[in-house]
Amino acid sequence: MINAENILICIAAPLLISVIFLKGSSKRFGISFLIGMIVCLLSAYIGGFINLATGMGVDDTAVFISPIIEEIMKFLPLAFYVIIFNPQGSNILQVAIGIGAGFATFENCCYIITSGAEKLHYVLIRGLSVGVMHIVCILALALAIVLLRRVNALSTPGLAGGLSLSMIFHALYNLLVSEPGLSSYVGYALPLLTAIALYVPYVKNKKIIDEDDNEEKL
Amino acid sequence: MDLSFLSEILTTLFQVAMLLFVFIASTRLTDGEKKLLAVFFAFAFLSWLLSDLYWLVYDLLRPGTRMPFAANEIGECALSLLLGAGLLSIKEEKGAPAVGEIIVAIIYMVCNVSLWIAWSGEWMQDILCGLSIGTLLTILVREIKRTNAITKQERIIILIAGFCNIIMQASMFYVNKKAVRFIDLSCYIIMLAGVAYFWIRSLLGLIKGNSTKNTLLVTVAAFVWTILSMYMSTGVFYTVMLLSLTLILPLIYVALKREVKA
Repeated sequence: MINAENILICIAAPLLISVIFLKGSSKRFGISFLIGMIVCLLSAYIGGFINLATGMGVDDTAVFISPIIEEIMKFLPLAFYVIIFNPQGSNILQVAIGIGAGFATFENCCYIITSGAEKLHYVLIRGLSVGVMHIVCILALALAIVLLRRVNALSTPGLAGGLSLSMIFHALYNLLVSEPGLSSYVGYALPLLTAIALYVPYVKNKKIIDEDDNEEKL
Repeated sequence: MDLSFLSEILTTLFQVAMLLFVFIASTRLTDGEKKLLAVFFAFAFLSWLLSDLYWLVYDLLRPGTRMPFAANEIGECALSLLLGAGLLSIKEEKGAPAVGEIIVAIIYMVCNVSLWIAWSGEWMQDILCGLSIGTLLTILVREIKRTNAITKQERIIILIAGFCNIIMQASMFYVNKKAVRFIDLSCYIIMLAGVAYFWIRSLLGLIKGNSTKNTLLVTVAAFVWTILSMYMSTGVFYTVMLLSLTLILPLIYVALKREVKA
């Protein structure tokens, strides 16, 4: 049992102050990072509630239900930003990465406080698997949003499709690492490999993102 | 290892391979004029692919246990919604309103969902899944009525077969074991006949070069019939339906390609 709210206040306070003095894209990233951390805390609350309400057990809730909650919670601020502000493609990606990084950072902080940071290999696995996975999931979702918007397909089914992809990917990771042995090694490697694989469509879609930005400027 | 379990795993692996091919191929269609249709279908295939992978991993890691509500259910819901959105993105053709057909489709889906709940007791996922397939079904029947992709006589036969199947499935809760075996077999005959009909109808549409939109509608109808039949099947019949579903994939892709390039 940890006091997650206190940890959030401790990490968020200096960030909040620094955001006040920042401008432009740095400010945007800082705010989205903070939102990511808040969203992580809220996801934990909802996960805990579902665990108690359904009696699924902590492990099963973490493996089967958490990916759904966490991806929806990360998606909501991003969807709000896209729908209300209609931003440029590059800004969508920036905010998405900020939310993902904030989420992963806060989750890792809580994990380290709970389990300790004595063993470097555990911390490395944690950082390079779960940390990367949160960023990969939301980055893929943001890329899907930019692509869908480009072809005028940013509708409910389009968003539901993008969201479902990030949810299944996250759930697949959780399922793989839930069992010891080969499957967990595959699971740990999955986010990093996907991040490398995502770089290809990212570079390919860079043209689309740049075009999207230029259209906005015109 | 149980033979039916092994065959299910192998069939799912085959489906994963087919989906991977169809997904990659359909992403290449997204540069065409009807890119919206191609994008929605490509997303649907990817969603299906990841759902299948999740199933596969779950089956291998936790064999013999019933999967609780998980993200792959959302993927399956998204699959139906995306296919429906893809069909809606095709330019609308004027035609008679299909209010009656839509009402019948909704009743049919409500009956299906009721059966699923009665079998599994899983309210949430069954209702969610039913809502998404129901959305696709209503879009499909409306478009089929508008375009007359399936003639009125054929539609009536499909309707009778579908509801006969539902009534017989429901009757199995009330009859003795001997009768259950007979009714169960009859249900499988109806479902497999439907699968064969839609498969041949789709194939003939592609070979004869019928209207591209009509052929796409028939192939998606084949998908809906087969997936609903699969949800009503167990054991070896489940594997047969899974295989049939996989074999419909290339037909959907070819129909999609023709429609996008039309």
